[in-house]
Amino acid sequence: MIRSAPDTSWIVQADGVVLVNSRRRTAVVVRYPEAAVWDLLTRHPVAEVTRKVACIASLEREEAERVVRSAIDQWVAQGFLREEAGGG
Amino acid sequence: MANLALTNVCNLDCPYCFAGSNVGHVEGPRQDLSESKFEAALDLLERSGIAEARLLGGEPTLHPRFAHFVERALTRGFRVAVFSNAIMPESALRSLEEAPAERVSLLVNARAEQDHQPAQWEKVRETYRRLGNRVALGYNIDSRAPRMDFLLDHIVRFGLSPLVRLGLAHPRLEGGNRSLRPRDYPSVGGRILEFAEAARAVGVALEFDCGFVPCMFSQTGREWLQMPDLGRRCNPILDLLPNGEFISCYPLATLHREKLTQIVDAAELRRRFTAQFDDLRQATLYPECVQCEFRARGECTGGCLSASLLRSRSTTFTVSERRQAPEQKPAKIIPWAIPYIDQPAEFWQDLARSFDGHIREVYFPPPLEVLGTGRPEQPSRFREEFLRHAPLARSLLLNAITLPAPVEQVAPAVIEAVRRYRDEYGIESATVANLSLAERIRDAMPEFPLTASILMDIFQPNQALMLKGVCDTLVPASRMVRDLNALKVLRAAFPGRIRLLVNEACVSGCPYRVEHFHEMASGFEDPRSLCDDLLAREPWLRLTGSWILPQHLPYYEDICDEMKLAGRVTLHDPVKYRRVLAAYIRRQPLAPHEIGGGPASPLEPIDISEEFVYRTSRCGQTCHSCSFCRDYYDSWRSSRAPYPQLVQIRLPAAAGRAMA
Repeated sequence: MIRSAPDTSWIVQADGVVLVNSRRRTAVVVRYPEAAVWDLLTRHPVAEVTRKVACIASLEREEAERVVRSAIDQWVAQGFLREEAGGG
Repeated sequence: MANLALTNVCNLDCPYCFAGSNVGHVEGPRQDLSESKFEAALDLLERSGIAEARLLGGEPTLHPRFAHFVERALTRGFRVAVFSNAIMPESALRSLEEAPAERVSLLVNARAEQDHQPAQWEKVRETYRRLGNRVALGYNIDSRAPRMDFLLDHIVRFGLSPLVRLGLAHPRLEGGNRSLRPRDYPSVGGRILEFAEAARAVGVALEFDCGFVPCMFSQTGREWLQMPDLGRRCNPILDLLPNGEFISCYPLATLHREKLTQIVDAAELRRRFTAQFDDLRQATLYPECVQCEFRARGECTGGCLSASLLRSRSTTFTVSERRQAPEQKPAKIIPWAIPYIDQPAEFWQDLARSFDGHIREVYFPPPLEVLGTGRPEQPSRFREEFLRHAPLARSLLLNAITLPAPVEQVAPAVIEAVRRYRDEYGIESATVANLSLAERIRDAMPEFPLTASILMDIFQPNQALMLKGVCDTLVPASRMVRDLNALKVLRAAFPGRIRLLVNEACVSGCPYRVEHFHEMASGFEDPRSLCDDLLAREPWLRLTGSWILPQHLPYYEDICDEMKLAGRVTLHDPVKYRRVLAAYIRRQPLAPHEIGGGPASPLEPIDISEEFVYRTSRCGQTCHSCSFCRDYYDSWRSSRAPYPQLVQIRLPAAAGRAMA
């Protein structure tokens, strides 16, 4: 199960969002369309996010899927999302 | 530059104080900087080549060894600057008075005379009188309309230093203090320029503290101020707390600390803080900062870092593959107002059993001789049984869009009928389409709850105010049912409960609507759906109707208090009625043609995607410049594909936020 990491917050900027880990005092700028992926992930399951991203950014479904997957992987690696054991 | 906080206590309680938990009142637990730490701090200043010891607090003069500290700093060759509120013990004042004037200064965090208690003001006046031009005034701006003129008056009256240091009240990361909102900066910028002109006229110069941004001033103002580095002053100030820990500044105190004992010099300390916060500097005061010319030219770093970080949002969420019940927000139970259909008591008993707690009331029309009800006369075989035995609250529907005679003539009979229904059947409330009639009912029966009907067509805040004192509940106009932003505004304007009708399905703002309802409510033999021809020509308009599907109710949960199902005619089949009601209560997906909507509902089993709902509930229905619904409909008609091939959509500048 992948969850948002504790101490993670984000700030909306005109060109994307800044993801902040206040405990580690790290931040990265995420541009669009990945910025929209983050925003949508906070409220929707991946499948819906993928559909929305495909719609909003006029991407083919496969391409939207790739954008979403790659973004999630990157945020896990950066510690903004974290994989936890357990069902879900 | 580094500031040494001698004590955490203060004899004032300024609401904007940045120091937060690092400062307490004199009566609370206190922490004073020890002599050994003070000496170690002076050592650090010395090693760093810093010539001035800046003493602050709390109120630094309340440290029991304040005079000694001043003397020690002077003896070791430092100049001394004291940041004070000027309400100080006599011993402290005397020590400053007796110190060499050219080596000691006092920066007073000033308040107007009327903002002090008389005894406090006496102390302040005494400090001003005895220290004279060693005192400079500082002022923290914590509102969009700061009153600063008293500063010039004090300077002139008491012969103080001709200098004013202005600061912005920045928010602490931990919260709790009153701060100036960044959106008020431009307004404050204008006030500062006015003040600067007045100050210049009496020979007073201005200094600016940290966190100012050039965009808060006009072009002319910036040229006039001539402070090209104004926007680059959010750097580690280096404040030493009484416990021997350094913080970058008070607003960021919770973010990172360094120990005095582990620092070689101030430059190293500044480097450490800068490195810690470097990443976070990507956060800026306004979303637009990233495109700002001042930032691009290096003339602005984006304002106070604490204020910037406080724009952040935070919520815990799970990245899941499939749709699931919201993890942290269980489905809200929203009470429903449901229509009367002509069914025996068992039907209502079954509904009461099945949807216990979900049904607020069943609304029913009185006979036409009382008043029109918004629909032609409906079957009423079981009405008496319903009125006497239904185990659900019942509400009267007085929904004539136009009255058959002037309200003065109509009202008495209607009020009499309402009273009769209340007394004889225990009817608990009424929905009214005519405000004049509602006012008269309210006057006659002040305790009887009234709901403003959807036919009152209330869709903007000023209308909501017109209902004040008359209606307890409001059913917003059909034209705004799919406009989430407008609904939020209306909710803010109306003090009572908002009841949202989910399945009426007129075309939004339909110009035929009034006539249609008039015909239906006035006994016309053949009331017409006047939009039929229009919808035959432009069938996609059905997608712009006032319907909300059960699966999309979560979008509306925070916007309304109650929901209402229409269907006195379209849901007269009890099986369909029950199925639709169950779907809405349980959020089970339905297509628009299944919800028992009105004449302008989609008639075909079109699949409504979340994207469609998402866009069309925020678009403001600017159909003249958008073909989204038309394309969606055409795409569905031609291919029956679930999603349309959309035209290229430019990502909005702040799409992330717009999606919130």
